[in-house]
Amino acid sequence: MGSLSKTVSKAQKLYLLALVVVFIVTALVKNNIETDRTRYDMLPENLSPSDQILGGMVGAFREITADYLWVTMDSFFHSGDWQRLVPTITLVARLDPKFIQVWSVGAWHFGYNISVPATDIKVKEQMIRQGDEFLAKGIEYNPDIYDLHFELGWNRFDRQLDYQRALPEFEAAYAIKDHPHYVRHMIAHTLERLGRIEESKKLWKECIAEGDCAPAFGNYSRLVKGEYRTGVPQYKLRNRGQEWEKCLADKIPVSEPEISAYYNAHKDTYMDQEKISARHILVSSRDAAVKVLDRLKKGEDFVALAGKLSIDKGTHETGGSLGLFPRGQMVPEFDQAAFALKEGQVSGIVKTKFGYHVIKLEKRIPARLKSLKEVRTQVRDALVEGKIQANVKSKLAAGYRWGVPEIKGLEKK
Amino acid sequence: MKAAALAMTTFKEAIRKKVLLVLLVFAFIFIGSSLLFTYFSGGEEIRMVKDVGLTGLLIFGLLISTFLGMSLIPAEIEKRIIYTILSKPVRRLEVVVGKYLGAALAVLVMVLLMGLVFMGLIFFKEHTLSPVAMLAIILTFFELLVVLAMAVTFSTFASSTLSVVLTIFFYIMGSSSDSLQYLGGRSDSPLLKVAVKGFGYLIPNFEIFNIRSQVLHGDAVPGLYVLKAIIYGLLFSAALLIVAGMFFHEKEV
Repeated sequence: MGSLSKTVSKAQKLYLLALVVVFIVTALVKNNIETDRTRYDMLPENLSPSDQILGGMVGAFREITADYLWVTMDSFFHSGDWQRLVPTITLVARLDPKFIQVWSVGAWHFGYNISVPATDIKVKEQMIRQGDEFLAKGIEYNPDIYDLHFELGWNRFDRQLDYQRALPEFEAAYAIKDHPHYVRHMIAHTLERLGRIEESKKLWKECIAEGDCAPAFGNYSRLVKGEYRTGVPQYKLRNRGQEWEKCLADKIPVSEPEISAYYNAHKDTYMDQEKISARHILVSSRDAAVKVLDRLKKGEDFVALAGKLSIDKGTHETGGSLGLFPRGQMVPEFDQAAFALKEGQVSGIVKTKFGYHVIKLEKRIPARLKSLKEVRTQVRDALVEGKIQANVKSKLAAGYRWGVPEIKGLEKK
Repeated sequence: MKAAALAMTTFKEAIRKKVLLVLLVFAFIFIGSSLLFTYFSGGEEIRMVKDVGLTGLLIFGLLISTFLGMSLIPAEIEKRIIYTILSKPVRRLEVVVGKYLGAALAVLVMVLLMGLVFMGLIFFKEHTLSPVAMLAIILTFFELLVVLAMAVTFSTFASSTLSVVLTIFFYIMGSSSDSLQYLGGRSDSPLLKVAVKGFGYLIPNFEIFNIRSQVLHGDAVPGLYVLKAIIYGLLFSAALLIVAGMFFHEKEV
């Protein structure tokens, strides 16, 4: 017994010794590898603790989980399920912060797809702000990728109309290697909006010199001619106005005297034009037209004759009826002749590019002013639109940018 | 030499197992299904193919290694073949190593087959072979070697079911190692810090073998890093096998 336990313990000692040696070498190698992983940026170090837990939970399946959610995110987008889209976007970004598409597509969903159709102005602003913050976060994780800087610049330029804050992002994108040529174009555009015309001109000149854009492109020559577009352009103001209208239309008060005053001032827009209802017989020659007139004089029925003789395929089955139409809808010769007729009267021969017509006027409805009752909603809409346009302009002039006021408070310049 | 002979028999037996064939077929279907995924992927087709393919290779590799590893030694004992082996002058450690190597060879064949299908898909989609993806497959193989060694080790002292559960548990722990280290490092308690640090050495960090993120984002992976990771995998497997040898040595058969 004594010798057996001795041999066993000897073997055990050997095993233990081998284990300790191998283990120490493994630990050393591991330390070396961990240094490498930090150096090659393979460790998700700048994740928040909650993201670390999330990543730890899915372990080796982090990327596939992110991809699975990315696919579902696409279906939420297509079904317009915003309530589920928003958390999914953030989750994918947290699982795989180096997935550039998620940051840019996500920000685009926030800034445009969700915020544009939103009718609650608070939601709208919050989504725009979220798009801005989301991209900034993406840049934190991927500082060396031009895409996200450019996206953020574009978001501020186009969506927030904040050229001041767009410029540094475009410049940051430009400073990163492998940026596409349009990054510099955007810098030039932004400088122009900011009124820094000389700098913008200089940039366009550089672009042309380096073959980045054709001289015929026109941006440079436009600036040379002094045709600047500084500040927010008119069409943008209009777009913004229309967007706000959807949020504010029900909330803007419009009084009864305002409505009647607007109606009285814009009566010409609420006129119903003069309309006539007529029939015609179209034939291919003057002789045929003369024959038609003869038969009409003999008392033959216009409707029956149109059915028999008219070569106008569209109307000969309905007895030549053209229905009701206002001035300007028919060719001028026809218009003139038809509107000159009295009710029940038949015209002479009228020549147009289609052939020879004989026209009979059935009924005339004279021009009239639509009553206020009929056009009340139209008048109200026009009033609201005008008020919103004025509102947009004054707010923009006062430095208001979409979703930005809160962010401005955070920034200390 | 004796270990080599044992390895060859083990390998031949392993690749004849029906469950392996079934797993392989499922793996092919899974990897191939990445092509269907691309339909929904919103312009990220190749990412999907690579991600689904590499993850499929890992999942099925894990299943194959776990089931192979857990049954290596218990099956021998059950079938009483072990007596004929042990009656010969073969050391018990040699038995463990021989059987392990045989199973490792079987895993290699499986990984190669799945890898071929995967690389074929990438070539079909991209018309180039992605070298980083190839490195990812190689590292997955060495990751599986560690998993295999874990399963073998557990099977020397635990039942089959418990071995599978333990292997899966430690795999999950090992692939969350990074997060655990990070969170441990933020702890205020020095004791917890040391404990977590030590834990990091005791449990294999499977994230070292995970370069799927680099494959997906087109980042380069230095060759030296891959080499170091391979050495780490081999060393950890060796350490596990020594533990397995130790337990097996003590085992009454």
